[in-house]
Amino acid sequence: MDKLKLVPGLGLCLLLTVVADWMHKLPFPPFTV
Amino acid sequence: MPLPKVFDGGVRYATHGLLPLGIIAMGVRMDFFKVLAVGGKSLGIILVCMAIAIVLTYGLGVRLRLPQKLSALIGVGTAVCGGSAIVATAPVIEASDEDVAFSVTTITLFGLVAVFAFPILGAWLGMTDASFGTWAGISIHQTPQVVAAGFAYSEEAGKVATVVKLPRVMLLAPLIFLIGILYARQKRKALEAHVGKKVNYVRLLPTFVFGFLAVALLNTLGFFPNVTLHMSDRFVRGAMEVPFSSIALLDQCSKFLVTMAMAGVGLGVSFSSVKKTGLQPLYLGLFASVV
Repeated sequence: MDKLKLVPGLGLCLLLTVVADWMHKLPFPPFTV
Repeated sequence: MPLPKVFDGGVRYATHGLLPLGIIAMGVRMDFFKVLAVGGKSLGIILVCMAIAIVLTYGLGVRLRLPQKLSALIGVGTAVCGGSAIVATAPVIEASDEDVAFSVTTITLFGLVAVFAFPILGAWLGMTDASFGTWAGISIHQTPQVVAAGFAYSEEAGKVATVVKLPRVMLLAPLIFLIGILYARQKRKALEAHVGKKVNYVRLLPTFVFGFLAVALLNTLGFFPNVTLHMSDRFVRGAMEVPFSSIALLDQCSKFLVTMAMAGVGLGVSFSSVKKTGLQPLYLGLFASVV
């Protein structure tokens, strides 16, 4: 399945997105997209 | 250190597949009536400042022999609203991942410096709340940074800064369209010289630009409702009302998709390519911020 090959990369991006969201909640000057 | 091959497909999909969807959903942040209502009086000065920022940054970038697309992205990021503007413009001008990563880093960095430097400079120059708010709203890159710097100066300055900043963000839609047309014109000329026949403009603009504009137009005309779901007493948590904003939902989706794409962009860029480009984009960013 070709689509299965997308899972690791998308998973890594999702992990970074979750980390970015968590960082955004920290009480430091804002880092947003 | 290159990323293991197993991640390649997904990372590329996040950048090229999810980004257009995120940009289309970003259309819900645009409301053309609000641009006129909020910006009214200051719209003229905002337009002039944005045009100057883009033209000067692009011109200097070309002088510094930076890639044209990178200069254009730094110009747009400085003029509009930092990261989102760059990410939305990049596919329109077919910029590379390196260009995107470099321009976002530059813009975020100088925006952050401005958050701390502006209130100090403002106090030193003895600026009034209104003039500081206008200054911050016009010149700091990202919306949260504008808000932070404004309210760091005073409550009133924060409010003024936010109001002045809004039309800048709203002007992203027409700007992307304009840049798309200009780029398509350039590409058309090159293609015509190469192929020797007329090329259709509309085909050169990426499809998602039309999607983005369509969503912005639908939002302006109020097609995205706020819905309240009336749950009956047979519902698991009993009878209740669940408010639900379709605009907020689309905005969240857009933020999620764009952040995923940004992660993909970052993962696709290596330090060696950054080294190759050198520090000149940073100088360009500094110049653009000072302007």
